[in-house]
Amino acid sequence: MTQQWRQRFSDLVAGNHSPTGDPVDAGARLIVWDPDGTEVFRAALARHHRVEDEDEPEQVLWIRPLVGGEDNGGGYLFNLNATRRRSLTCARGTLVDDGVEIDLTSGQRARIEPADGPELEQLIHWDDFTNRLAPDEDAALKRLDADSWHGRYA
Amino acid sequence: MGTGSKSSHQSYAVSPTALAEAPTAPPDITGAPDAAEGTDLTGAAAGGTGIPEPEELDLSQLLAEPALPAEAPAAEDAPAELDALPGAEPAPEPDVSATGPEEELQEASAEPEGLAAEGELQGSAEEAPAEEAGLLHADDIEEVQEEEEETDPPLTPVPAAPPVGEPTGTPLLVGGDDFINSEATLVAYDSPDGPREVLLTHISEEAEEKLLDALSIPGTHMEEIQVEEEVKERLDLDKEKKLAELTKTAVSSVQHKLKTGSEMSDASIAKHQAAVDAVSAVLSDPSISDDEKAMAQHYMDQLNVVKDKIDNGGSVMPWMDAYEVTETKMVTKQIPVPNGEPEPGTLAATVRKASRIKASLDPETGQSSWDGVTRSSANGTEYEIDMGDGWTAVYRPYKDNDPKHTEFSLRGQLEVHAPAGAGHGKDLVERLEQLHLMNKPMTAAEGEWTYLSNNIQAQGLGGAAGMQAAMDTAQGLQDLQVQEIVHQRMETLMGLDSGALQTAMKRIQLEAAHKVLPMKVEVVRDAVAKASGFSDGAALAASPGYEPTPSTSGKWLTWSRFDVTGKQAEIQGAFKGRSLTHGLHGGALASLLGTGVLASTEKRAVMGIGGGLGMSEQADKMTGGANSVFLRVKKTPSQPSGGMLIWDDPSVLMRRSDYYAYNGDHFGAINPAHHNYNESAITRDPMKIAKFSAAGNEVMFRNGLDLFGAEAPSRIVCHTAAERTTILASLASRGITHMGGKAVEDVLCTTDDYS
Repeated sequence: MTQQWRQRFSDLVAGNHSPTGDPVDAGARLIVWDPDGTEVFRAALARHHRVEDEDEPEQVLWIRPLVGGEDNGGGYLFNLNATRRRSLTCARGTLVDDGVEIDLTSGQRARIEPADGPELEQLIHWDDFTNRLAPDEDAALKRLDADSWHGRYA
Repeated sequence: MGTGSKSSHQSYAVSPTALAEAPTAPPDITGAPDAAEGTDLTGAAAGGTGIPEPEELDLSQLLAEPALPAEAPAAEDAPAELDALPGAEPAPEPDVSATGPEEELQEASAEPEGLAAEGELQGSAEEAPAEEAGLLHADDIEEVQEEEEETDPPLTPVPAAPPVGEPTGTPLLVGGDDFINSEATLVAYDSPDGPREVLLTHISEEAEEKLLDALSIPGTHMEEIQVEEEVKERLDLDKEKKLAELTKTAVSSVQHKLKTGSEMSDASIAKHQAAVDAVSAVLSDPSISDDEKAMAQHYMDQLNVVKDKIDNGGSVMPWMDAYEVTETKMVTKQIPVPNGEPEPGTLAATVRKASRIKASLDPETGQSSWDGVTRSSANGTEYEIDMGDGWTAVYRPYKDNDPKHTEFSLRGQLEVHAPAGAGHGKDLVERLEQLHLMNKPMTAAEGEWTYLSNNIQAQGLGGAAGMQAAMDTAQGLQDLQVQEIVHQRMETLMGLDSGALQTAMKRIQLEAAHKVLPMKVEVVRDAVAKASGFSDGAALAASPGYEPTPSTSGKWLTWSRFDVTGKQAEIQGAFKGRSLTHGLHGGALASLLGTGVLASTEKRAVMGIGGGLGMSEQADKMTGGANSVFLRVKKTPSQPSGGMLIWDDPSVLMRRSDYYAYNGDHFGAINPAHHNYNESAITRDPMKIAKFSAAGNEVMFRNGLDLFGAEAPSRIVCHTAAERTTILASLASRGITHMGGKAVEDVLCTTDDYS
């Protein structure tokens, strides 16, 4: 079961569920609810993730929610110090409809599902923005091991 | 010290507020916490000495017997002044023990006695109008403060001219508790017009009312103006035919395949073809202009590169921008215009959208520069304040920035700007008086109060037995002192009109606060001592970990906590096998070590690092985490990855009193209105932090970390030997041979060292 939800999670983030067959036309968004059911977070996710402590009962998913970003006249840009990695510490994951739901150890509940509307638009902006990056910068983002960003776009 | 010199004060005469209407606010050092960061401090009532400031002061009210705390301290704890009821003769100075810090406090308390020179005051009042009486008294205070500074010098000297271009500026401490952690920074940005000297600080929420009292904010309305501006725009035909969008879609699709190493899909080929068709149609139109033809060819050239990648694959493509032309246009802009004139004796302020200084840091020289004008947009509201003579201030108020919807980290930020040119350091501090804020560098006596307040917060002693009573007693002492002075000067005060009386009362509050501070410190020190297992305040003060002065060795001013400095071995034991870490991406180490600090988002913005993109919705600014840098507790890495800063002895950082932490990912939330904030999960206990297990745990340190001084990491892991060599050369060129007492060659390592 763990493998199933993890695979679904991975496919959603990568955009493998794209109806056009081109992953860049699809992607994932993350929604988080507090224990009382209040939605507290909603953002598109960059197309990479990393699993830490795979053998631990509580798995940690490192992700990159696409917060911020704006067109300041020189194109749509993200501040990479703000668009930093976040972690989801998972107590339990389940497949739901076309997405994945995760009970977080914080007591919150997270849902990763196909992005549409403003989140998909944000993801398209992100894909375009990352085309500005040098290969080593792009690779650094994908590793999801940096806590802060220095240099360009910070 | 010349910070209180008469000559500099006289230069303020152009601004009536400074002398007639803006007496120095009393240092209300009640230990009242910052709203967000000190909610578990003491719960002491905010601000004020309990003395009302109505339109018409009623002196009989002031002489009413004050309410003493319900749990007044035992006789041996209570300073002599507690017995000095209003109307009694002035009590003698308390007979406190003569240990080191207390000696200084005694001296400080003795000096302001001159303020109470009743004869002088009476003479002034009889011979001069009421307003003048206030002026004469202000001068008297200056004289006394100058004398006081000789015996109790400031903990941090104020430079006349802060070093130009130094990104971190010159940190200093200001007396009282108008400012969070009592700290301010003087920065001199390099600019073509000469240095731009700015004082940057963070007002406590409790002090805001005083500041607002100095301002006249008649309200503003927006007016449209036409300005000529150079704008870069796409051609209309491009927008109509969506050539840029179609090309970008094709580029992104093909780039994705190149980045992931996957095969070109039919979808990618179709997107490319759609773009080619659209561009070709424009190119083949004989009616298009030369500009339009150049535009279409620009896109066709890009699409030819894309076609080559579709056919042959290879490395990722370079960035392809849209075709734009630069034009000069008349642009309509809206500017805020005041609705009316400011009230007499106040500073005119206009309301506008919040912003930040948009400085830039030259990576080659390490110099920060700013033109004095350019600002980046922020999510919130600020006041632009005209202080006269080319001096301005910008304040981002708590009351107009709802933490649910605006950037939490900007609330309370104050900038004071001098006219272009060098040499305004001392005036930048003194000018705070115009804003009704404390404007004297912190003395040792005030420093101990801040130290105790920080320790109460850091160690969670606010709810300890006797702590609230001690705070109430401290407040009661100050109230009693005010009443005693009022009683002594009743005859003089009765002759003053309402305005002069208010001014005189503010002076008296200041005087009382100065005079009673050593006794307040003694009371609270004793309570803190008992709450933390010491027999009394003297035993605490004599303990080896008690360090009531800030650390000034590095680029930040930090206060320690005695539960760590006194028990370093225990802290090290708790962290055994664990380290504090912070990861950076490749190539970032050199630029980071160029500045020598790991700085918070807010600090980076004013240093000129980052923030240049004008982002207004950054998550950490909403959570309040933007005022801190964060580290993570991890098992001591045996095979660390490149870009990692590692503190193998976390006690060097745990000694600070300004951190908070979560055993989980909360984005550094300190804003109670933010969903990431969790009061029950937040901790400041180093023993709990040492046991953190969640991978996403966070330990937040205010402002940042000095990477070269005592807080330096024990290991800095370079990605490659070449990166290490480059950084070592850079450090050598700047004469930096050691970090935290360790040779730089021993601190800088590479991933290969662990393979």
